[in-house]
Amino acid sequence: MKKYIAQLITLAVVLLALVLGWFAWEHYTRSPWTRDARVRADVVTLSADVSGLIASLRVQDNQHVSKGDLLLQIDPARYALAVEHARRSVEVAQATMGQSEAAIIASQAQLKQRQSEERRRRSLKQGFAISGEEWEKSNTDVAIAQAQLLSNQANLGLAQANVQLAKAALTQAELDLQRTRVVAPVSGYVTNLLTRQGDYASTGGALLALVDSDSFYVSGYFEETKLPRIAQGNPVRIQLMSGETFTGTVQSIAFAITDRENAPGSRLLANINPSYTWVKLAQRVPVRIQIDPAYAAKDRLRAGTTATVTVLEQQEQR
Amino acid sequence: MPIDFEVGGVYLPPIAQALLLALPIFMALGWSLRRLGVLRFVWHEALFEGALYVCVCAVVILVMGASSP
Repeated sequence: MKKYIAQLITLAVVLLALVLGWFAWEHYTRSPWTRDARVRADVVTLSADVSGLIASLRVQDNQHVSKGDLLLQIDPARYALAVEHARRSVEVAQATMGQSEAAIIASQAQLKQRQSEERRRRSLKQGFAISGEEWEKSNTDVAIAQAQLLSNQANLGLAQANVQLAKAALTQAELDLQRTRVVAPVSGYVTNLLTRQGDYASTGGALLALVDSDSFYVSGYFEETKLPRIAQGNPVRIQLMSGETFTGTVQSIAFAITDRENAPGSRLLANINPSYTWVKLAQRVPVRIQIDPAYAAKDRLRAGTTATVTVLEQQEQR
Repeated sequence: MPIDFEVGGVYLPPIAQALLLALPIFMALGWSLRRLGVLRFVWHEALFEGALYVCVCAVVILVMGASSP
């Protein structure tokens, strides 16, 4: 009898252990939290729109700059000369246009003279006072003068178009001159500044990284098994590895991640990794978390640091 | 869930913390059960103690999960 009671006690404790263990394991693996989260920020890779020597660098490493601040100045001399050149081109084109106008007036006068000559000869010819050949000549002269007038009018059109072209080139040269001043597109922090005064900046080449100070957020990499219990707008508790704790809300959940098992192989064939079906690893999907705007020490956050993220809503419901 | 517990650069996940935390509780419990003589009424002492440790661990994990937020 005593032996049966002993067996019963042991089996009861084992059963309790199984049940409790199951609940604890479910809780541990399914509750929406992750140790794999990162503080992130938008980084603007700044480059110059025009090439040239960097004449002056107005920022230091890790300095805060406001939107529109001058960061660096590319040597403007060459671009100032280009503007001068373009201005002279406009003047040249305008002078050519004046010449065309004068030519039109001259050919108009000539046409008028030839036409009156022709009229006079017409009456002379009716009295048989001039030869047919001379009459024909005056006729031709009128036609030539008309053609000249038309040609000069076309030239005026060309000269006007040239003035517009020269003005467009001037505007572009002025824009280039203006773009020798590289200004901050966003407010933020200059980081890892490797560019030095005297470096040559080429068009489109990366010069410095600007961390947008208003763009900090946390990206939590949650296992796919935990995603069903995370919803947009859920409150979130974030704890940095250095200990600071603050709150946030789930802003959005990524809709796609790379399929690591299917890298394109040779000859456009699928390249599926042969995997061991006993062990399956859950993929991790980034969840974007907005940091509580009231968090006071926001400017002490560093993009790239590690955080632990716990989604709170679901735990309250249970 | 509580955050990482650091030991000399190694960051233990909460489940390791729970297992460590459960160990002294389990030892105290086992010692007192032995003193009270309960273990004499038990069949298969090792199985009983193993199950007891699992119970303590599970309770610690659930309590940690419930108290952290």
